[in-house]
Amino acid sequence: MNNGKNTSKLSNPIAEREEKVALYTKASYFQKKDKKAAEFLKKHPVPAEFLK
Amino acid sequence: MKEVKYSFTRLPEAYYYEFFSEGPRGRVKKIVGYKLIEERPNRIYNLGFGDWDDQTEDLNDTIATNNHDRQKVLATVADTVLDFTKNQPGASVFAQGSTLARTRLYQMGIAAFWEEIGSLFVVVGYYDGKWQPFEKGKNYEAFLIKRK
Repeated sequence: MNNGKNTSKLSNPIAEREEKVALYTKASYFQKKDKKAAEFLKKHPVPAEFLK
Repeated sequence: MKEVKYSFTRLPEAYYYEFFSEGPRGRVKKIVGYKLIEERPNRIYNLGFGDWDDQTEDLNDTIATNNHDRQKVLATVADTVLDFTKNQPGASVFAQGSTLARTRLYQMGIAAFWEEIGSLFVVVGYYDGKWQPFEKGKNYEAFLIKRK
């Protein structure tokens, strides 16, 4: 029986959202991209005048 | 934003937005994500955006969807920036494509909606070794967007 997961998804939108968030958070795309962005900002900090 | 755009679903727990591109290539799931990458002295979130691949369970921003809806997709991404910054006052959004072509796409998006974006946001770009106010026609390496 493999219906439990789908049934609970249909009846529980919060659980479905949490599952999606976990899935997206695991995506290596974001991990690589965020690391690259942090490195870029470390190397090229944005002047404070633009962040006020 | 007055442009035609897709409606999105916000997953507020982690600042993800989902929407579907629809066109000749079918229905393609797009994800926009905002991740905190700098907390002090100012909060800066990194914008990630691409097509969701159910098989790899990952995002891909190096492929062209070719769904003939680029403006609509860009308008939708811009709409998520509006929504996100409304909910995160004081935060800035950093945007840099995974490739030069992708960064250029972001630039085209900013330029296309400049009338509205420029009135609501301060936009700076990294060009020629320094951060400077956004101007149309320059090929920036990265962007930073903050509500006025």
